[in-house]
Amino acid sequence: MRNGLRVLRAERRWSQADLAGQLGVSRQTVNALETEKYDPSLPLAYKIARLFGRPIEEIFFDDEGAPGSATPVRAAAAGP
Amino acid sequence: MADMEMLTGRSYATRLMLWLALYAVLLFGSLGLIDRKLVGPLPLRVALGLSPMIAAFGILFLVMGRYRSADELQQRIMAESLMFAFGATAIITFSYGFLQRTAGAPELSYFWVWPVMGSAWFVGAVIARRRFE
Repeated sequence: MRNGLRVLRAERRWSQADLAGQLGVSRQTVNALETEKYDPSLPLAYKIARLFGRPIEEIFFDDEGAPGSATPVRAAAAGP
Repeated sequence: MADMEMLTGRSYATRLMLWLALYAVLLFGSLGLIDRKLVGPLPLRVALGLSPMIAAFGILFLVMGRYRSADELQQRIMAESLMFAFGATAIITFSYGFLQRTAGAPELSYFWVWPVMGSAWFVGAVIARRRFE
């Protein structure tokens, strides 16, 4: 799975530790999510979606075509 | 959270040190008493000989508590490293058992099982952690 977590976090100027604190996970886990080495469980994905106030499919998406009508947060859109 | 994490880590380390200290006290205390023949009857020697395991149980529950309080990725890393340790220990101890039968490898103490498993756990943790970095 791909995700736009890094972009969303950067928009809010949060550090990985800030985001980890709000999600109740370790900073290493946030890093693994952002580098797309690890896909979150559904409960954690919901928590992330709720925190950023966006539907899950806007934050997490695969490469298999467009994810419905949602506009995914893509890393390329906001730069590194 | 970063601070909380560090505190959790620190408190885990502190508790581990305390249990290890108790283990050392019980180990050397019981061995000392038995070696100096201060304890006679077999049941008492058995009880004293096993007394360090009280601390070992403490460490077991401490590690299990750490697993339960870990987040989902940390749990996965721990599970994968333990799975590696489990399999590697089975392979190594069985290999040695076969070598004893077929190649005359010398008798070894059961005390060697844990160092093998602990080392395999460490290697497994390094491998599992690297997968998610």
